[in-house]
Amino acid sequence: MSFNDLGFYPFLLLILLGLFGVQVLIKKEQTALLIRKILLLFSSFAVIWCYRPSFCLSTAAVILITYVGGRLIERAGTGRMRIAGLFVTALVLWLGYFKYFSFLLNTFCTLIGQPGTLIRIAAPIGISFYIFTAVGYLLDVAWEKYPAERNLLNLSLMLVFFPKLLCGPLVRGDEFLPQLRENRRMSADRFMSGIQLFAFGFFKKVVLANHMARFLDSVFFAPSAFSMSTLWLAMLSNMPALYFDFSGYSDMAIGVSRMMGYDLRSNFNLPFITTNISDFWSRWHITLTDWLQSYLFNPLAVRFRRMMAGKPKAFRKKYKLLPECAAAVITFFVSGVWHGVGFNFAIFGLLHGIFYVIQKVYGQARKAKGKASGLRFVPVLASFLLINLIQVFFRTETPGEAVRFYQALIVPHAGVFFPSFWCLIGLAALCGEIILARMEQRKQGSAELNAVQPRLNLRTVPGMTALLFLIGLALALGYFGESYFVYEQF
Amino acid sequence: MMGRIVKVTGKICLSGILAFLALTLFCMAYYHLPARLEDPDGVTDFRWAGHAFYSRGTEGFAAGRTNNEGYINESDYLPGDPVDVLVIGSSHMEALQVPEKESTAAILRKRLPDLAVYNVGLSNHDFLTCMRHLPAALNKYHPARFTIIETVNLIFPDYEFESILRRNETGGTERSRVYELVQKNHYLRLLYSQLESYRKSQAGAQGDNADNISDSPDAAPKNSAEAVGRFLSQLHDLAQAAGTKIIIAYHPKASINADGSLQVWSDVSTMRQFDELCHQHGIGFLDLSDRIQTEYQQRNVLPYGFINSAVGSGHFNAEGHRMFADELLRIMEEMERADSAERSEPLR
Repeated sequence: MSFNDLGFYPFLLLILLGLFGVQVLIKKEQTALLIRKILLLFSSFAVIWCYRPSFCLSTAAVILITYVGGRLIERAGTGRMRIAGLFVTALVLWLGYFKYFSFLLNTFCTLIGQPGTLIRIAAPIGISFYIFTAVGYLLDVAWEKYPAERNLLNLSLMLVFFPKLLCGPLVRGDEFLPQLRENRRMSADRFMSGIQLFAFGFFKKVVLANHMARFLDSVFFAPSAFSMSTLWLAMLSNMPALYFDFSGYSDMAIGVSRMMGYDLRSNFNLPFITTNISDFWSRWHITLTDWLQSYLFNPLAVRFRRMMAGKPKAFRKKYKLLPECAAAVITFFVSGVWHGVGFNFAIFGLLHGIFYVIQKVYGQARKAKGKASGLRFVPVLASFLLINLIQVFFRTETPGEAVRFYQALIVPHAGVFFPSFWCLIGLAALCGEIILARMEQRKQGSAELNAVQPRLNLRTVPGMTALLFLIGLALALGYFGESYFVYEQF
Repeated sequence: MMGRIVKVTGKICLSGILAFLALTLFCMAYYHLPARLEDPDGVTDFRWAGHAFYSRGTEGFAAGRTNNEGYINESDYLPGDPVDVLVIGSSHMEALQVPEKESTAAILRKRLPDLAVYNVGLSNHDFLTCMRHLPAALNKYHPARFTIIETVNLIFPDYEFESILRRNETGGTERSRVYELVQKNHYLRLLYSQLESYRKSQAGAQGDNADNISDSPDAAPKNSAEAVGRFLSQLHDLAQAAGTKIIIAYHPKASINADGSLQVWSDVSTMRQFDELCHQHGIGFLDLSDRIQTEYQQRNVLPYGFINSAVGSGHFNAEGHRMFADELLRIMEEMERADSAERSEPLR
């Protein structure tokens, strides 16, 4: 049961009414807080139950492991890193079993010339997200950023809070646990802010993402059937379609959380205005980038720098970027395989890592030669093109399919010409978003270009009308056939 | 406190009404279907309101007006007007997705300038529905040359073939109360349609294609030569009594395979048998499968799908109507040539 399902909305309404009822009827703060958290936890497990009842057991097990792990790490004193390593390994292996076991087994069988297995292990919903959240929490406790959470309810909610369960955003303990400890109240301002963010996310998902996906699924399934111009349109629309899908979900998750009184971090910030890979990842799936930077990239870079410390000075000077680059390649590789099971995802991650390295090295070279920064429009377009080209690996089932797609892009051939209306609209919507952000930047006089958040004044009739019109328009224009959240698969 | 609640509720209601009006206005251009009325003559399950404006932007972009009878034709029909070619079928023949002049009936009209072509194609009129209403249609229009029955499916249980022509129904299919209520407002009708799409996707059915005809899950025998033969014999007798020739025009779904080849979803042996039986009973039969393949291989065109919907699925696009009309003309000419001893006038 997700934002994609009609049945979710009566459920959401019940939860909101329940939370509001608790807030209004129960005067004792602590009791209200307890009931609120129980209601939210029950709802979260109800969502998991709707997918498969057995997933509840697996999820509960992860919660308990994380809870016990946090407490033991805190008490361990000097041995806390070892215990943290143990629990983190257990969680990662747990994730690995559900996500990668079948694939690895089949790959092994192929390598030794044996028939593969038909075993498919169903991964509990949201497992990639809550396992990462749990690992982050345990490492934070091990690094003594904050004490271990004593309240099992709080920890459980941090991991499985249902608005963010399926596709994030990822939360950090120091951001979300304090909110769970407070008796957060629903307020009119938060509700109005949340509902319009939800509505905008809903529009992006059902109107733009769903329609674009219909075209993209057909083209990527059989690229040789389509003309070159159609393939180029598909390739350039691939990332924008994923953006509307994922950012749409994120907006809905953040909006619902805000309506309930909780704040989740934004996950996207105009990712297509960037001019290089690292800037792209600072604006795309921000919470994952943040997680990877904090818990993988930084520790690896520090470790590699320490390893370099023993080398001769000339070597260290010549290869001063090596620790950072090596850490980046590994981090991007992990990011790739986190996204999906298959060699194509590994290649997707590695390509990002390789281009990150090129960007770092080239950036140093340009700095050394004292070159002035060039025209930004060209780098933005070049970056957009590069990211979409790499994204082909994300979309196809196998590396071979990706190569065939690239071949079809460059080898002239005849095919079905299909100028997808919705892809053109999607690309126009992207440009519109950037133009709006630029106008806002000029108005505010700020140095940074950031995404504009919806700011309808829902206390007025025009504002409320605009919101209801937007929701109604999304219902009218949206595609409600077979569709799914792309990141739900991860 | 009460005053505040009343004020807020009032604002929400007013905003809702304004938003609803704006959306209704939007749908007058985007999704505007005429009102559904009963067909007193029993030619079809229902009719659209006469001389009513329609527009569709959900699949293709098209707008037009119905004629006086509520069908999609360039001109009105008055009782007694001659009809030479009658086109009966589903939403493919209704052709709300393309401009009227690009529909199969319009193309036939243009290429047969001396013949009166009349189209009574309507949504949700599958082959069996068309057959149920065929006697009434022939009785009303007396098509002098041909009666074309378009269909996407010809595989039915034998008992359907045995009984269908004997039913001679004139009544329409009942629609739900909800539909009757929502059809008064274009936006609500669109929402209803969206809800149907959602339900179909949840049920795992293919919500894209016209009229969503699927094989009956019945375990009963289907399309046996005896049952189909008897049905076609009855059909031939009906046609002969009405002074017309029947053409059953079949067009299967198609989809692109991963290797770029086109898969036409047709049961080849069943259609071949149907073709032979039609030939034996003096009924024309068109199977668009080969033409779909040829056009795809030679010109890279698909007969279904629009730039604002899906690739290769859904209703006939302009190319599909053109292919269909071309093949119908070919079949009509072949039948005329085969029958030339009895006719003094050529087809065109």
